[in-house]
Amino acid sequence: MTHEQIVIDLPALLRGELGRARLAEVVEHLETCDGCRLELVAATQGHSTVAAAVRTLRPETGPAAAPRAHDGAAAELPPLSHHRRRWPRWQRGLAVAAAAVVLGAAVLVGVNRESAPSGAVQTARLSAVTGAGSGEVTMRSPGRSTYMTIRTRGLGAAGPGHFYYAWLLEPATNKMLPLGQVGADGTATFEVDSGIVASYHAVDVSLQSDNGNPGHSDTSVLRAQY
Amino acid sequence: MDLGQDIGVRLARGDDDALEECYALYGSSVLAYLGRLVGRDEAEDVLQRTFLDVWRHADRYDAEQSFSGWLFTIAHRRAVDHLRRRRPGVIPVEVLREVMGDDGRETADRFAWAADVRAALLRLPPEQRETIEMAYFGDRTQREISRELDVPLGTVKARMARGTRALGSLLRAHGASPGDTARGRGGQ
Repeated sequence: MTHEQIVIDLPALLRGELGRARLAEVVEHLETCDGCRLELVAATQGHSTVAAAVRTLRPETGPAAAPRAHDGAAAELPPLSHHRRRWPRWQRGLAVAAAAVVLGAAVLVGVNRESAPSGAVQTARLSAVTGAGSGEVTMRSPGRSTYMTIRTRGLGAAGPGHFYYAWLLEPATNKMLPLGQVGADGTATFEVDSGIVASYHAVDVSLQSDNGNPGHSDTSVLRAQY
Repeated sequence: MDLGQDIGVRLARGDDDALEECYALYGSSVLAYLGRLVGRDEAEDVLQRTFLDVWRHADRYDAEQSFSGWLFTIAHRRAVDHLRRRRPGVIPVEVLREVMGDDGRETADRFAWAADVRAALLRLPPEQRETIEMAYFGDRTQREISRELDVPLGTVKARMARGTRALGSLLRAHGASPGDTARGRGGQ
């Protein structure tokens, strides 16, 4: 019996697939051959590693449903979606332009930190979605405009290449409208058409990356319902 | 260098193809992990959010850390976010145990390690990979594989022997071991 014949039977030895006679031959050889014992160590490592991975990745379906398909490890993967961090330049331009039109036509963003006009006042508490921040949104509606003042606390610095951004959100449909950036001091005031404010029912503050993507990052840090 | 480190470095540089490669190599393992935490029906949504975060926060990957450990940390956080949004009272205790505390870390590390093994398998020559997958993931004997593939039993034995050996070498060469994944547990 050659060493090569022993070595190719090592996986079967480890998996308990050798018949009694062949098992005896392989064991007898291993008892006297240092080279093949080293091969057994390498084979054991490979076998043990794969067996452990299989046990981890196998769905918990019970012993009666042991998988038979050889591709059982590769669970059916859905296509990867919405993953482009950097939009192609022309798409980015269109998106930014569209956002600017929406902002310009409907929202009229005004960073007016000093003189929010008087009128009916409504306050909504900002609660943490991610992290441990808090705050409140104060809305004054002296006429057809609503002045929304956002004050945040405990958000911490957004970090290099990041910033906090405020949105109107309709929780029932997840429809969103961008308001604008929250200042480094954690506050911002926006003048928004009151009809627009009435068609949404929440204010969301997100952590955004400065990557040219004008969409919501999916990382909400604060939210208030009104 | 661990198996995913080059992918992590390319992701951090903004290489689109690296994300596709990462998804192909690790996606099914992450999906299996998330299925265990949030259930099969909702795992796909959390999977998409996980890889979106991987892409978005790739610049935070530290090449000194295990890539799979970093990836499964993100998956774990997205799963926790998802469970938090569920109504209270619908999360089984055994799921909580696997999400929180030492049990949760151990589970994530174990899946990260299994994902590295799975990724290494995908780098083997196709005939070796197929044989090993049929034997281990498909629970077939070498004789059954020989019949199904219509190749001699000796060929199946040789492919398995070379494949398992190559797998061990590949993992050793990249310094991947079960403990290495734990080093990757850091911030996104």
